[in-house]
Amino acid sequence: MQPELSMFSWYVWGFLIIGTFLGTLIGTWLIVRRWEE
Amino acid sequence: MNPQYLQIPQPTPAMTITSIIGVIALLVVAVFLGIMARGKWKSFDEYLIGRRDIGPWVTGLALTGSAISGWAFCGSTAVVYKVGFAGMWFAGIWTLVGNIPCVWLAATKTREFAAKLGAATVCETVGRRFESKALQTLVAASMLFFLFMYSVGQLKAAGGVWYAVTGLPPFWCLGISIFIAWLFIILGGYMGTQWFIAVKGAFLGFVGALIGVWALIYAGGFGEITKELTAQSPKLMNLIDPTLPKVGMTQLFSSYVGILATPVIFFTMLVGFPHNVSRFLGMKKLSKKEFILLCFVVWLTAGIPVMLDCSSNGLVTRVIFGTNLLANKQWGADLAAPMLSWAIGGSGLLAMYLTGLVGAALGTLSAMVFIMSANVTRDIVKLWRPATSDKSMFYLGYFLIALFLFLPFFWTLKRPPELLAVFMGLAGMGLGAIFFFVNVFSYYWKRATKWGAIFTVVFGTIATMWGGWAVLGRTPPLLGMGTMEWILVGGCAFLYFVGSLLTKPPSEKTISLLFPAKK
Repeated sequence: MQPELSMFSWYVWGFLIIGTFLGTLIGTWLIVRRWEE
Repeated sequence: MNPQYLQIPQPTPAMTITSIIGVIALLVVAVFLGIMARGKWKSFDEYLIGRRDIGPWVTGLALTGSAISGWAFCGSTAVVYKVGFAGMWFAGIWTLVGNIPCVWLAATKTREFAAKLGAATVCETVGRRFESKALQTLVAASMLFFLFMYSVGQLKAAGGVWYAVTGLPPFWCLGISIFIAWLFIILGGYMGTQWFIAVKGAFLGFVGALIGVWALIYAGGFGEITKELTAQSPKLMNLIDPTLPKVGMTQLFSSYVGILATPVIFFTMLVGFPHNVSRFLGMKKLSKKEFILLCFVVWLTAGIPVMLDCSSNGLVTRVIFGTNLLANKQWGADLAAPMLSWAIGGSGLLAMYLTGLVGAALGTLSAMVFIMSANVTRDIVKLWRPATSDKSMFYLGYFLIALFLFLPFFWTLKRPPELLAVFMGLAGMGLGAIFFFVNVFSYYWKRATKWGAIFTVVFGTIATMWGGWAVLGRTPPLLGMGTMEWILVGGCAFLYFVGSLLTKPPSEKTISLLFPAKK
């Protein structure tokens, strides 16, 4: 019998990657908003 | 060997020749950059720090190059290849969670504090920020101890892979590489080292992304990888596998305590690592646009490539080779990344990978060795004997750089440290836990005191040594690495804050210089 395929781990992995990338963009934007030249 | 999967190939002339050409090209570039940087410094201070005029591109790429070591480029793929998805927690999926905050928290502040205090090293910045020569010495000694522990493992992966791939003894490859590293460090100083690490960072980012994307396409995408791995063993697709490793209660990839500890480890390590933070010492004063560019460069080069290296690459290797690599008793899972490059792209991609790996080891090692040498020359000798001439400092520095490069080389050949990943993990944990607070947090908390910092350094150093015994040296282990990380970070945080609140902060003059009132 074929074991059931689960893509759950990939979803977590994808969430982490997309989350960290978006977090990077948002965090950088928040920092430069308060930037004093 | 399971004939159903690909076997480890015997080295062919094409593999050997392309690999040699790749490494020679890398070393030629290193010497060229060293010579180019030779005219950029005139005093010992400039040798240590440059002219504080390096822009965001070189700084960002150098941070990537410094953070991506041989471990990230080789060991991380090995862990995932060996244990499946569960290994990615330890394998550096969190790298970006550390590297980007390192830029956010440490970039402009390191530059600003060092320039205001006239400091040329991280230790000197800490010593002058807290007005304590004793603290500077203590920090230098602790840093030296940790970086030494951390540096010992740096060449192992490169040496092993070189031998497995080319069939040539690693003695000449590593021997010539460390001689070249010595040459470009003494020729180019901080500037030359920064340039080399930056070139390496750009190359690693490119090769890492190329192999990662290529591997995913080659394997037929996420669905096909899942199908193949599930057929081998459904456990390979589990996010947590409680049966791994067989001993230990709270290890990093077999328990929730361990998994929750991994982002904390990567965050504190990458933000606190002196060889990462030092990349900002020679940076120019950035404008808003340049700061955004710096974040973008790190995001691009340390993001996608490392995440693929640390996760899907190991899984694709497992799909292609099954457990055949583990049958190799000498190098085992360390062969995962190079064999993946060979399987999907032949000798050409293998040579690029190997060049990247030697570069990764050499770049991170150079960054550490440069700091270790300055720990002794600038932070101990010059601090306590200010009359020491620049000439004597240079000669002592050249000798120490040779010594600190030679020792990892020697131990790689004579008695390779076992469990590279775990061993380096503990030294990294100690460095991260201590310097995240003592150095980076102190950029923001003006109430921090030298006693808070001293307690943190002493506790962190002793706890890491004890942890080495309790987690790795004892059979069975007394506790898992996950618990150890919480003890380290929790203990350092407690002593730093409580020690600071109970003692007197630095003088008002220093505080107002470093923390000017907002207009």
